[in-house]
Amino acid sequence: MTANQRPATVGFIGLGDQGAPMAQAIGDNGFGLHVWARRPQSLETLAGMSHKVHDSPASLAVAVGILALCLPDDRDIWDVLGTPGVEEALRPGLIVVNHGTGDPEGNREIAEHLAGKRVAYLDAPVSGGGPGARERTLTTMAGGDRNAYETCEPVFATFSRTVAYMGPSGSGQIAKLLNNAMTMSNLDNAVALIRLVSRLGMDVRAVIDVIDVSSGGSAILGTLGSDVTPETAPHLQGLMRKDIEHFAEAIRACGLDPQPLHGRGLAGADGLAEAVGLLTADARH
Amino acid sequence: MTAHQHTTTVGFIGLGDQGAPIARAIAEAGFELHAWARKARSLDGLDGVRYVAHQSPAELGAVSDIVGLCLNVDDNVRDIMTTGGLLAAMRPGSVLVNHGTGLPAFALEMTRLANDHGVEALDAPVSGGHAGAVAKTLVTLVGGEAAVIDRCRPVFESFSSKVAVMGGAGTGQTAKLINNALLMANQENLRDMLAIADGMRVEIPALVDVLRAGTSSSRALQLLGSAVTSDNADHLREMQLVDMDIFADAVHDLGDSAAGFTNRAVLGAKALPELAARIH
Repeated sequence: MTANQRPATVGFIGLGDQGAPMAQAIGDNGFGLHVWARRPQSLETLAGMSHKVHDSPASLAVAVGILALCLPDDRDIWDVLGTPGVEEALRPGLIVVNHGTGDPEGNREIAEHLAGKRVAYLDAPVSGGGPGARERTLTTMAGGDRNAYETCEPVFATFSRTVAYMGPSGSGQIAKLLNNAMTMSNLDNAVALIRLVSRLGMDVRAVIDVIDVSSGGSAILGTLGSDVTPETAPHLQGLMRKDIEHFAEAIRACGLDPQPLHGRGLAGADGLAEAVGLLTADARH
Repeated sequence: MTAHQHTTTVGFIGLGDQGAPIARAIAEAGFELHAWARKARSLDGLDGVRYVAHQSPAELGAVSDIVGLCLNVDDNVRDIMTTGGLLAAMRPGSVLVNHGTGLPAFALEMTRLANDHGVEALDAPVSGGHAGAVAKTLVTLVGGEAAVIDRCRPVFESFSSKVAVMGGAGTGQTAKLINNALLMANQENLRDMLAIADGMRVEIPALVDVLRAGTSSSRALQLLGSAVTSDNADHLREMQLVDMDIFADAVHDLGDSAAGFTNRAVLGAKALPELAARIH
C-alpha cells in the first residue's frame, strides 16, 4: 500500500454509452470525480452528482491521482497524451488507465512511453457493454504494474462484478481479445446447432430454451432472440467482424496462429442474423 | 417431507449414480415406489426412503402405473422390456419411460413395442448429472404423446427444475443429444483458446476467472472445476464419446452440414481430461 491512504481522486475522459455510467459509479462511491469532455452535452449524464469539471485534459491530469480513459481506440490515448499541457502534467505517482479495447503490443508501447516519465499505466478493458456498465456488473481485466493495479482495484470494483489482474502490460487487452474470440466461437457453435435443429424440423425456440438451462448453455446462446433481435443483429455482426479481425491481427503480431478461433468467430458473426431469424420465426407464426 | 400421498404407483429400474437419486426424489414426493435391481446391493441407494422391492421386472411392471428406466444403453432397455418380461406384465394404459440417453430411432422402436402391449412410452432423458439428480434440479427433455406426458409430469417434477416437452416420440432424445454435442463443441473452443493463451503473456487462472464471468462464459467452462475434475474427466470423456457416436447416427441423414459440427464436438470430448487438468 502507498503512504497515502485517502481515497484517490479519479479523472475520467470518455463519457460515452460505456464510460458515463462507469464515471457515475466511481463518483457514487466516495472517490473525488474529475471530468473533462470534448462536448459539454456529454457532461449532462453526471447532473445531480458531485464532480468537478475541467476545461482541458491538462487541468484534469494535474488534479488527479488516477486518470481513466474510456475511448474508442489506442490512437485516442495518444491524442490525449499529446494534448498541449498534458505532457507537463505527467508526474511520478500518476496512474493512467485505459478502459478501451485495443492492441496488446500498442498498449505495451503506451506503457513504455509513460514509464519513461515514471507514470504507471494499466490496460484495463471491460466486458459487458453499456448495460453491464449501468448495472455495475462489468468484467474488468487489467494488465500492467501490479502496485498500480492494487491502487486502482477499488475504483474498478465500483462498476464491476469481476475484477482481475491478468499480468504485465498488454495482458488486459489479450484477455479482452480472447474473451471476444471465445464469445464468437461459442456463437458459431450455437449457430451450427440452430441450423441443425431447424433442418431436423424441431421447434427451434423450445430446443434452445431447454439447452439454455442445460449443460450446452452459454452466455451468448442466452442472448439470441432476447438481447439480440433480428433488428439489432446486422449492426452487431459488423461490430463482431471488426472484433475478430482485431483479435486475429493481435495474435499474429505475437507470432502466433489465430486459427481456428478466427475462422469460427467470423462464421459465428456471419450466421448471427440467420440464427436469430430461425429462433424468432417460430415464435412469430 | 411426504406432505401428500399420490395414488399413482411408480416402478423404477436402474438405481445407478443418476437413477438412485431420481428414484429417491419420486418416493420423497409421496409416490408409492416399486424397485427392482439386478444386484441386490443396488437397493442400498434407496436406504431411508419407503419402497417395495420386487423379485423381477415383470413383478414390478404388474403393479406400476408408470415405470421409469435409467439404464446405460438402449440394448439394456430393450432386454428388460422384452426378454425381461416387463412389457408383457405391464397393465394396458400404463406408461414406460426411458430416462437414459439413446437413439431417437430406438425411442420410436420402444414406442411401437410398448403400444403392441397397450402400453404407452415416453423418451425422457435428463441433463444435470448426479449432482442435479441429488439436488432435484434435473432438466428432463420429453418426447411422446402430450396426454401421456401430462400424466407423468408430477413424477418428472419431483426430480426436475424444468420439464421440457420437445415434441413426439424421439424428440426428447434428439434434444438431449444436441445439448450434449453443444457442450462438447464449447469444450473444443476452450481447448483452442488455451493453446493460443499459452503463447501469450497472460495469467491463465485469472483469464479463466474473467472468461467465466463474462460474455464468453459457457456451462462447459463452469462445469470444469466443479462437476468435472481430473478425478472423473476420463470417465466423462468416455461417456461423451458414446453420446457422440449416438449423435453422429442421429444426424447422419443431414450429411456434410452436420459433419463439421460433429467432428468439433468429438474433439471437445477427447480434450476433456486435458481441460480438467488445466481449468479448476
